[in-house]
Parts: sequence; C-alpha cells; structure tokens
Amino acid sequence: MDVTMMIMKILKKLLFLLLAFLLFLVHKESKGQGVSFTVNAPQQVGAGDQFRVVFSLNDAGTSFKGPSFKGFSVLSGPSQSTSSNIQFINGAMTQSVNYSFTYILQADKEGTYQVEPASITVQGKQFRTNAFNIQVLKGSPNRQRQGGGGQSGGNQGGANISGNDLFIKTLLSKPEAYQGEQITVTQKIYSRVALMGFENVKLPSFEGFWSSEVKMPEQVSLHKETVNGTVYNVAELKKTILFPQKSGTLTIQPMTVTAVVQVRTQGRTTTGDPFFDNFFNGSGFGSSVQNVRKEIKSAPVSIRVKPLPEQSQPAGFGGAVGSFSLKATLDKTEVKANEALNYKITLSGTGNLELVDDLKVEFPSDFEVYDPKISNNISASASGVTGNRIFEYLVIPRNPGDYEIPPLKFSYFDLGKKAYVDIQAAGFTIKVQKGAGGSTAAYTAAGKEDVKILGSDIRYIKTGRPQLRPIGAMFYQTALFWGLFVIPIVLFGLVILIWNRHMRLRGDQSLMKNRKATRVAKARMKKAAAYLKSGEEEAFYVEVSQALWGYLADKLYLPQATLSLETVHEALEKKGVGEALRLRYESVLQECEFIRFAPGDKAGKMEGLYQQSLEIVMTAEKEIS
Amino acid sequence: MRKIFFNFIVILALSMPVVKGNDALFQQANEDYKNKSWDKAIAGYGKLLSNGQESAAVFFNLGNAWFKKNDIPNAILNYEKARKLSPGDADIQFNLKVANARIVDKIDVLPELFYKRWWNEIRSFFTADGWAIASLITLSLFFGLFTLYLVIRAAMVRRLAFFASFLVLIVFGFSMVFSSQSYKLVLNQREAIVFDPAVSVKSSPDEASTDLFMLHEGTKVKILDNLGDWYRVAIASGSDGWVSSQSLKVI
Repeated sequence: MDVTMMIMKILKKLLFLLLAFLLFLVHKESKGQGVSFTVNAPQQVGAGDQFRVVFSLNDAGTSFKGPSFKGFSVLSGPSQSTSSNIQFINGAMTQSVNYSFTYILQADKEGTYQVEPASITVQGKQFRTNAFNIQVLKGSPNRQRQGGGGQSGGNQGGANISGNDLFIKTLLSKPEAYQGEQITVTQKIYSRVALMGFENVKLPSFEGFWSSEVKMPEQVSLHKETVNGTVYNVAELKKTILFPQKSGTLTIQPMTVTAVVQVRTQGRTTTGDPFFDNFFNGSGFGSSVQNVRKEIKSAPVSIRVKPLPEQSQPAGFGGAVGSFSLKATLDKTEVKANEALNYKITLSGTGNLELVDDLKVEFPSDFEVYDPKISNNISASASGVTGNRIFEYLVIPRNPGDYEIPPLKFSYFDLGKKAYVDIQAAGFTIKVQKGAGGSTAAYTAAGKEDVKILGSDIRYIKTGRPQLRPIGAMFYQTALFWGLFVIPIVLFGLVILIWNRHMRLRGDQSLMKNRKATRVAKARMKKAAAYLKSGEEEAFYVEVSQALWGYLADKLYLPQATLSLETVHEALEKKGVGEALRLRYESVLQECEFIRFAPGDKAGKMEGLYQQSLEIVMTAEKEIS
Repeated sequence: MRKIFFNFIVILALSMPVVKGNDALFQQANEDYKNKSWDKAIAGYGKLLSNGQESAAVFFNLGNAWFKKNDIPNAILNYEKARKLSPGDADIQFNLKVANARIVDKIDVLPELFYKRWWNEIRSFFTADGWAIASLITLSLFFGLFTLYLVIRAAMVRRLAFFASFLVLIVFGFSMVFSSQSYKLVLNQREAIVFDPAVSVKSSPDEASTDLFMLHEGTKVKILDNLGDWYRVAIASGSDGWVSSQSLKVI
C-alpha cells in the first residue's frame, strides 16, 4: 500500500513538472506565432438596434485606436478584456491569449456605413484591421435573431464576459414599505452568455429584516427579458419575503454567485464564419468550448421603511401588519373542576404571522394555564406570506363557578386602509361544576396543612325554645333601656332622701335629749334637795329615781318604757362604761328603788342617797359621752 | 319618652301571638332537619326569618342545614349571624370552626395583644343587649347594697354591703363600656362572606383594575367602605381591596 501510494505521489509530481514544462514550451511557441488583429461585427443590423463590435488581438498590444463609427452612436466602449485559453486536442496543446476591445453601438439610420480600420501597436509594430461595411436595415427584421444571436454574439465574444453580459439584479416588489409590511425580493440573473450553472451562491444577510424564503422550483426556467433594448436570458435565482423590523433606510446587501459560463476560445478552429463555428460548437466537435467561472455580484439595494403611525396605535398592538382574521374555539363550555379545557385560537391571514407570539388572552385568574402549543401552517409564495398560526391553550379550572373568557382582541395594521384594525374572537362562558366527590374539599385539604377537625362533624341543632325576637331589635340605647336605667337611680335618690330626713329627725331628738340629760338630772336633783329639806320623803325618792333613770334613758337613747335594770346593764355594757361606775350606778339605782318601796326609816337615808346620786351622775357625765 | 315606651309595649304585645306560631314553625323545621330533609328545614327557618323573627338558634340551625347540604358559604354566613346574636355560644363557635376548615382560603390571622384578646373574649360573653341588661342589674344591685349599708346598723353587715356595692359598681362600669362597644361594633363593623366560588380582589372599584389577590367562597371579610356596587374589604391577614358587591353577602 505504502509503496503504491509513494509511487502515485511521485507520478503526480512528475506529471505536474511535465505539465509545467509543456506550458513553457507552448508559451514559447505562441510567441512565435503571428499576431492577428481582427474585428467582429454584424453585417446587417436593424435601425435602432444595439449591437457590438469587437476588436480581437492575440497578443498584448498598446495604443489601441478605435474607429470613429460614423453613422452610429457609441453607447459604450471601448471596454477592454483579456482571456487566456489552453487547449489539449489529441495530445497537442494550444494556448491562446486574447485581448478584446468591445464597443456597443446603436444604429441610428438606415443605410450602409463604413467602419474605418482600428490600429494597435504590438512590440513596436502597428497592426490594422480591415475597413468593413455595416448595413442598417429598416426596422428590426432580425431582432429576434439578434436576441437569440446573443448566443452567437457571446460566442463571438469568446471568453470576454463583460458586466453587461452577465449580471445579477435585486428587484423589490416596492421601493418603500411600512415597518412589518412584506416585501418580495427577487434576485435575477441576466445573461447573454451560455450559462452552465452556479456555484457558491451567497445569499445576503437581510439585516433589519425578518425573512421567509420562497421555495423555488428545482428546475430554473429561463425566460427572455429586454433591458435597454438588449435581450437577456433571465433566471430567477432566489425569492425572499422580507419583513422590515425597523424603520429608516435599510440596505439589502449584495448577493454573490460564481457563475459557470461556457465560452468558446479563439482557437484555431475559429474560421470567422459564425455559422461554421456554431455548427462545430453545437455538435460538440469543437473542443474549444470551455467552462469559465466568473464571480458576479449584485448591487446593494436600499428600501425606505416607513414607521407605523404612532397615533391611534391600539394598546394591545403587537406589531402585526397585513390582514388577518381571528377565530377562537373552546372544546367544551361545561366542565367539572380539575378537568382540562382546550382553548384554540386560529390567526389566519397575510402578513408577518410568524412574528405574532404573544396573544393576550385573559383567562380567569383561578384557572391554571399552560404555555400554548403553537403550530404554523404558513406558506411563503411570490404573493406573500399567508396561512394560519394556531395557539392551543390547555386550561384547568380549579374551582367551581361561572367563569368568562372575554373575547380575545387583536390589533393589526391594515396596509390597504393604512390604519389599525381591531378584530375580535368570540368570548366564552364556562360553567365549572364541582368535581366528583366534593373535589373542592379534597383540594382544600391538600392545599391547607393544619386542618385539625376535618373528620369531625358539626354539633347538632338547638332544639329548645328559639327565643325569637323581631329582627334587628336592639335593647341597648332604646327608650326602655334608659327608662329602666332611670328607675333605680330615682329609687335610690328617694331612699337617700327618706334616709336623710329620718336621720335628721332621729338625730335631733336624741341629740337634744343627750344634751339635756345632765341638766334635767341636775334640776331633778335640785328638786330632790328641796324635798329633802322639807322632809317630803315620797317626792324626794320619786325625783331621785327619775333623775337617775331619766339621765340614763336620755344618754343611752333608751325609750322610757323599756327601762329596767337589765336593759340599762346591757346598754351600759355596750357603751363600754367602766365596770366600777356601772356597778355603782346600778347599786345606787337598786338602793333608791329599795328604800323607796321598802318599809322602814326613809328619812335617815335620804341625805346619803342624795349625795351618792349626785356623785354618780357627775361621774357618769364624764364617762358616758 | 312615655309614648315610645308605650309603643314598645304595644309592639311586644302584638308580636306575642306571632311568636307562638313562629315557635311552632321552628319546631317543625327542627323536625324536618331530624328527618334529613335539609331543603324543607332551610325553607322552614327561612320562613321564620321572613316573618321578621330571628334568634341565634334559628341561624345556628339554618347554618347546620346548609352545612349538611354541603353549602359551606351559606353555612358560614348563618353561623356568623348566630354568633352575632349570641357571641358566647360554644356550639356556634365549634360549628363555625368546622365549616371554616372546609373553605379554600387559609388566611393567617394577625395575632392580637393578649390583653386585647382577653378584653374581646370577655366582651363576647354577651351581646350589646346582654351587657345592657347586665349594667341595669348591676346598677340596681349597687343601689340595693348601698341602701343596706346605710340602713343596717350591724357593723359586719354594713362593711360587707359596702365592699359588695363597690365591686358591683365596678362591674357596672365595665358592663356599660362593653355594651357600648358591642353596640358600636354591631352598627359599624360590617362583615361579609364571599359567595362566588372564586373572586378576584381588585386594586380599585373598577373591573379593569389590577387583581390583587383571590378569595374563594366562604371566606369572611370585613367591609371597610363601599362605593356604588363595590365593597372595600379587608381579610384577617390585613390585606384589603375592592370586590364587587354581587360576590358578597353581608352578615
């Protein structure tokens, strides 16, 4: 293997060297060949036709001097081009260099015109072409031929492919557009040469645009088109629909294509007779046909993009431009809680459909909404982007009740009306019933953590008397309430009043008696003293007894009727009178009573009793207050 | 005043025979409840209410019937009404708790300071009327005891009567405060139950305004304000917003 590889490599290198050597030889050989300076021009043209006159030189020349072309108007030229050609024919190799000077002329008037010779200097030697005649015919009898003859002209032009023979044009469906409005961009190739194919098609990057490519047929079909009076074979290379994403002047960058062009060399097979040449080339005899690659570039094109009017722009406008219609469907309007619903919105129409992303559907906040599934059914054709975009929402109502999906609103800019248009899809009312088995409660239990008394039941109803009363009846702050409130206050006031009077009454009497007690006692004692002197025993004892008892009664607030030794004893004890005084007072009282009612000498004891009584009243006065 | 008092007596007297019939209605509804015919029971209690009669027992039983029908918002509404008439009733509080455990919204109640809580708990022993009666009784008691203190000469009795009257006077003071507070609460603090399965609370009384939060059926809200068809409500957690009045039923 290695050996064969090695041999192959060496052979390749050898072949390469051989080739280089041969080339060198050929070059030398060609130098030796004679210089030919020829002219190619049609013999007959129609008036008003454009045609080409090509001067060809097979060597490098200087100071080319073209003819004046009297009777014709020179549209362009002389344009110079060079081509070199190497041919292997049956092992023999020929190389040719070709310099050509091309004029594009227009025939103005009928008649026969002579074209003067052109001259060129090659290696110090001047060469001249022959003068020749061109007959200008009336009208354009062979215009068709002339168009078809582009081919022949191309052949005659040989490898000399100028910008006029092969170019790309970028065509816009409109020179200016609104932001978001679709523009169809077509790239066409114009050719007057034998196009074999394309390589390295470099599409421009459409900066500032959102683009959608239009599918082209596999087979590129050629058609004929006249540009500036010249007929070209035209093929559409690419068709793209663009949506400008910003306003201003946007530029579509050039497109580059490497075109493969079949050219005929100005080799030895050239006979100068177009028919003969054609015959050989067409039949494949001519091995002088060669594929040449030429890079062609289109010119950049600008588009003026107008901004959408700011005024009256609806709030929910999302940038949709074109013409649309909206349809909403809901698979069911009655559903149980926790069951899924399908809400489908179909947006169909022409325009930047695919840029519509965010439909502002207002689902009830209690619904669980999943991101919509978006599917497109959009086709981009020469007439624009049309189709529909479907948004499918999966929605799960979580709680029973009546809900509403309001009508979906969608705004777009209508290019026909040059105004914003609002469209609406139908709204829906959804009846959500309780899920099977009280799903609300189940949901609750799942949603809440610290439910403690779920398992237990409520307490039983109240069965006794209902204690009904009128609805809203309030007792507080009613007249009755304040009335009832006043009663105890009034009653209490009365009690206080009565009590005060009673107190005053009772307080005055006793106070009086209390205050008078000593005086009364003293007065009685005085009387008693008088009786003592007069010896009236009975009266004396009555007075003393009354003085003693009366004093106590007044002092102790005792009624006269209840007076007795026991009551006095009790009263004195309560008053906290000293034991000694009490006993003495009692003994004096006892003695008084005893002497008064007992038989015997009363007179003898009168003096002593009087003294004792007087003494005891004085002491009691101090002790009993 | 005398006229008003007279009118009151007349109304009371006139309503007496109706009360008799209503008592029978109540017993009949209870019987329906016993037989598990909730709808009939609900209709029976409803008849009582439409007769212009109410009581804690009626609302409580009505709440029970709704609960048995698995209509939690109605149950809660009636329990709340019952509780308003009889705040201290343990049965009502228990059933209300059971019913509240079945609603969707779980709202974290803002904790109150302990003395405020105690104060409110004590206040909820009676209604405004209960406290009004309590204040009347305590006032009468106070006067009685004070009279006793004045009249009775026995020192022990007098001393006891004095302290008792003093205590009763304090109780009277609290009763007055409680009754006035409860009265104001009944008049001013209006509450409502959410009846829509789900309702969004808005930032302003406008259908197009922002949704603040969601409430679900059975949740109790406090009514702070109303404007046209809208109530400004607050939930126990302290958040507030506007709700369409159609979504609520006032307790």
